[in-house]
Amino acid sequence: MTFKFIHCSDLHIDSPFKGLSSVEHPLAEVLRKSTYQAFQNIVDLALKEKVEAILIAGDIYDGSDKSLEAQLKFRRGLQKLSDAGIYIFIVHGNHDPLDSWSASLEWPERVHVFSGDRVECIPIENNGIVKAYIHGISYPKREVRENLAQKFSRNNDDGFSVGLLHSNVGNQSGHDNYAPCSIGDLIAGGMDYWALGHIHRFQVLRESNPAIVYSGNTQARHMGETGEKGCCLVTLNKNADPLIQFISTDTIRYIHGDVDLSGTTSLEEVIHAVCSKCEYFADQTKQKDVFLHLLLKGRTQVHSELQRGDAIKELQGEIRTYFHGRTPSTWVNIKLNTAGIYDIESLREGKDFVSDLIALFESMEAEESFVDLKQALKPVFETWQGKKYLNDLSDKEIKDILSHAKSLCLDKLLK
Amino acid sequence: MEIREIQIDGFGIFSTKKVKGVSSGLNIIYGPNEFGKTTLLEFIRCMLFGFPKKNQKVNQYPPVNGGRLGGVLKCALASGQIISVDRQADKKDGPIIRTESTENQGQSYLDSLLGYATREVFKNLYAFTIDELHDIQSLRGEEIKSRIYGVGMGLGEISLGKIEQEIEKTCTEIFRPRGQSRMGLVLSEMNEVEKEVIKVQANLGKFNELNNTSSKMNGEKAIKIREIDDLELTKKLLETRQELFPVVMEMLSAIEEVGQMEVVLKFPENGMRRLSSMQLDRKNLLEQLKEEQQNHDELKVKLRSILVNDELLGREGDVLFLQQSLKEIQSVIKDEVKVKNERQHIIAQIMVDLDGMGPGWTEDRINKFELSELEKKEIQQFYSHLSESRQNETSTKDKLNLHREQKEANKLDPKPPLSPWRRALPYGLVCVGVVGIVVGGILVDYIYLGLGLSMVGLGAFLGNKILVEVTMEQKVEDKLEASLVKLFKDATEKRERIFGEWSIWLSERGLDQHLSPLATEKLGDKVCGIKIRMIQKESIDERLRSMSKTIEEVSRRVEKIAPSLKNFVVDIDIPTSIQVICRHFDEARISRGKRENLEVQCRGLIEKIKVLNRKIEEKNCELSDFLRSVDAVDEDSFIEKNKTVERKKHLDRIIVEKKGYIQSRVGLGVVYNEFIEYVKSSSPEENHQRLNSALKRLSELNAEKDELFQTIGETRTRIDYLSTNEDMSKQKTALEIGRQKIKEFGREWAANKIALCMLDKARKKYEKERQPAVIKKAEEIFTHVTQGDYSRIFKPMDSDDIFIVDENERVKGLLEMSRGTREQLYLALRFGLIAEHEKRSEPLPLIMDDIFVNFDDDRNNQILDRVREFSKKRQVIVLTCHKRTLDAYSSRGANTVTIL
Repeated sequence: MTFKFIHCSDLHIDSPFKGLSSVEHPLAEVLRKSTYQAFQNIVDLALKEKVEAILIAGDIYDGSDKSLEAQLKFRRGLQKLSDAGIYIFIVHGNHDPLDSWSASLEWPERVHVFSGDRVECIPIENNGIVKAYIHGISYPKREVRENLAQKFSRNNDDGFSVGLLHSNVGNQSGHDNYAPCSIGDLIAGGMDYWALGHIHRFQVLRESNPAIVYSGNTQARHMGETGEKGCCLVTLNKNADPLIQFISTDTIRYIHGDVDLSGTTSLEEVIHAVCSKCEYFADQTKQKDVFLHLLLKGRTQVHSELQRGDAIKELQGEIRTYFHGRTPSTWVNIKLNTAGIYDIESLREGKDFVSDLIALFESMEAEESFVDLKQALKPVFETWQGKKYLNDLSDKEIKDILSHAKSLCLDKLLK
Repeated sequence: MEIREIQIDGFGIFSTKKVKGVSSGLNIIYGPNEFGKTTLLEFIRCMLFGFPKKNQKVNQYPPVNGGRLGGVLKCALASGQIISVDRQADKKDGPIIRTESTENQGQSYLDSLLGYATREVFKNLYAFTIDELHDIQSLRGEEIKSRIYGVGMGLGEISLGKIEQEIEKTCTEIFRPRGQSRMGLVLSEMNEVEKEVIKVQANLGKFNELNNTSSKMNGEKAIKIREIDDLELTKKLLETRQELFPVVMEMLSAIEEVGQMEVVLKFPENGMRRLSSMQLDRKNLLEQLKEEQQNHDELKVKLRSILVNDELLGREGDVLFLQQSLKEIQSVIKDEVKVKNERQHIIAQIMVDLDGMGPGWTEDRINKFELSELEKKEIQQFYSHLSESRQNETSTKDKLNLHREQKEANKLDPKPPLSPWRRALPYGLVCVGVVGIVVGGILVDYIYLGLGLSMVGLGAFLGNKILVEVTMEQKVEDKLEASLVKLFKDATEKRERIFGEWSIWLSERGLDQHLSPLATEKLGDKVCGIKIRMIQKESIDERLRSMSKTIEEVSRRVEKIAPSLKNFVVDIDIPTSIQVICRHFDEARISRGKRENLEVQCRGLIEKIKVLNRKIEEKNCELSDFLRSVDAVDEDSFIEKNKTVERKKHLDRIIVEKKGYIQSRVGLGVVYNEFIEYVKSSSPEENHQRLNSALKRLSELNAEKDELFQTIGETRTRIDYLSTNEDMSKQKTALEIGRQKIKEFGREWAANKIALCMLDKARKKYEKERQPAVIKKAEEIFTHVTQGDYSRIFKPMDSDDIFIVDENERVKGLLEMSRGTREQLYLALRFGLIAEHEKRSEPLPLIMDDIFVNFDDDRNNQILDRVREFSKKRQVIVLTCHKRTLDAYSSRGANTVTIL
């Protein structure tokens, strides 16, 4: 006996893209619709593969203020699946807990949304035979610090048992530690497969007995989420290990790349280097639209030219013109981290003001608390009324800022 | 590091110049104006720190007197090691630094030997001209710091203060707590967007409310529709009742009338129709009888009016013969004259032909005469033999005559005799041949002998030939004539013999003996032609006899028929008579046909009349039987009974029809009975009143329903608007962009702010840790140079100015100082800074280009002492164009350097 289903999570439908301070209209539309399009791709995949069920492990929407349009779009997709005889099981996560506002929509026939007060167990029957039991629990509120995995237990031996949970297994960094649990807790539940959500990266924590899998999010939403995004096409076999295939569903891919401009002496060379890099990445992603975040670095004679006013904007304009009209599309966001051709080692060894300054920066970078710096930045980061839009600066960010400040000083002192 | 030798390949005015003999300690290089002191200073700077780039707007010092831009600088390091710095401007890889055993290339390596001093430090501290010293004037605050501190800082022309101002400006543009800034602008935009988001969210909250309202209204709509449907049913029922009232009344009245009607038994089905049918049949038969009788009478009249010539009809055989002979007789009459004419013509021709034959020829002789085929052949043979013999005769005669004419002609013109030389030639040849034979015989020469024999032979041959020719000609002539005469005689005899045979052949057949064969042949042909005509004449005669016979036969028949016709006279023109007879015959035959036809018709009509009379009798019997069968006395009583029956049937039909209609509208069974009872017990007015009230209520309900539908539609529109509204998504995107902008601005501001902080920290550190030593050293030198006129230099921490204090504790600012004093202060500060710099770095050569010109003698001597003192720890090179300076330095042990 086999049970074939799709496991996905963290759809974040209609969530705005992050990390772009300016964006032209066509790109904005593509980015805005990308999350829904990714869900649409899952629906198409389910119909094509004739799966028996789709398991969604939380965070369908991005926030408690989910838009009505997002809910209706989602419902339309579910209707299509339900009409095709596919069962849909949903748990809510920290981004769309049960206590958040939802439009009072009637779910299609084969949709089951798990409640938040206890672990439910729903059988999937085929011709009177139970093929699988889906266990799941939703987040009743945003912050769930309880270990929900411990509430799961297998009650039936017939058919497969699948656990559906939004959780941070093993306190993974970069994600809030909601519904924390350990792999041991999951194994103790007696499931055949754990369909997990919350972590935005595809991970197979355990391959079998039980398989413990994060499908990752279906579409990257900012520059921090690079690489393929998608869902898992899973086939459970009674006498064999589960077959887990990762299928990409993203419509636009985010890629980080560095462009070393060392040795370049003119803007033409810079443009050529950047275009070559873009071509390289565009070729790698093949049929996907791609959003490139390129960090220009290296010591170059054109450093001061690049620092000038709108030089980066102009450079982006050139690249945009170069890729204009191509399908799939390529968009580029450029950040500058180049340096002048001064020799920092020589400067450090000097006996003048610059060497003093470099020594000061280096001693500052070696500090642990950055108390003085934080004090200097207080007017914006602590007392300004718009501080809510600014995250607290992490030590790494302060170090980056320090490095930026050092470049700034040296650029000005040594020009 | 110290300079030992300067080798210039090309630089400004210098070309392959060498400066040798530069030693440790104090060196003086003397040269007049235009000598190239400043160029030499710049050359040393370039050799140590590189040539200016071509795009730099500074003096590039191109070699005006030839040579490559560059050269070699030989130096001694503190360790005593000698190095040479080889640098060429066109080599981009930097200088080549050679020692006795090693060779390195690159500025980095040289920098390490220079203690990492920068070009700016070297230029500001170690190698400067009076202009560069004089450049510092009327300066305050930041500029002083930039210049004075910049020297020590290694910043050169760059002003730290300006840098700080620029960064501060950027910080303020990005953020300021109050007033306009980029972050402030973005924040206010975001506040607006957030307000919009709140508004959209509030609308979203209404979605559920609207959905509930919509569901509720849909429920109301269903109730309302049901109520309307019920009322519609009631209305329909009342309308039906209203409509059926007259129908029911009509039905009830019919039932009542049927109840009161007489019962008629045994009335046949379709009785009236059958009666009518019988009556009609009888009437038709009577009419038919009448019509047939009339026809019969008319026929009789017609029959009487027809007359037929039966006598003529009795001679049908003769008439038919005449009819058949008509065309023939017409043809005979027409041809008779023509044939007779033809006969006459042939007779005339025969007569002419007989005359053409000659006398003795009659028709009988013609009939008897005939040339057989054999005879014709014999004629032909005679003809050919005669022609041939005649021709032969003529031909021989012509030949003989021709011969004789020629003979006569030859006699008149005799043939010339042979020429004498021709006659003598054979004899001559023989003689010569004999002579040759003789000579040959004598000489026994075979050639002469041979030739002699040949010539004798040839002479004999020619002599013989000529003699024979002459004899032959005379003999031939006589024989030919005799032969020709003989041939002529033979030919004549032959012709005469054939002619005799021919005459005999003619006389045997009784023909004229003078006839030629050809004429005889023609005579035969003519006889044949006459015979043919005679046969034609016989044929015509026969035809004429036949014609006469036909005419006679026809005339006889015509005359035979003539008495049968009234007023008929036999015409001479037999065909006309025949035609008249035929016409009469045809008329008689037609009349006879008509009469026979009418007689047949009459007989048929008589038969028909009999049949009709019988049918009328039968019909009357049938009608009487039918009336008796329904107990009708007569036809009128039958009609009365029929009316009663038909009325009852009509009423029954109405009852059934109305009942059926009512039942189709209200239903069967109990419902129907109730409905009938209801109609019996109520009135149309009462029903009408109830119908009106139902209609009024229905109209009210429909109005309420329409209003409800409109409200539902509006609600649906609002729900649809909310469902498809992308505002929320767009606003969230705008918020996200704003958030990112603020984030980026925040980081940019932070970088600038930290840069400012760090620059401030560095400055404070520099002032605290380095400047006091600089000032202290400078103060010591300055006090010495001014010989105690000024005892102190100081720079307050909170001020950017520099002050000097005289022996009377009077404080002077820069502007209060004389130029010379200010230059001495600057020089003292440089010395201080050099001392400070060299605490952490390799000493570098100090090169000064005529900087002492504004110093008075005392201070000049003092400064000379300080310079000499200074040169104990580092190399000092003084460039001057003043003799007194050269002398002063030379007298103090300075090494005088010359330029080769």
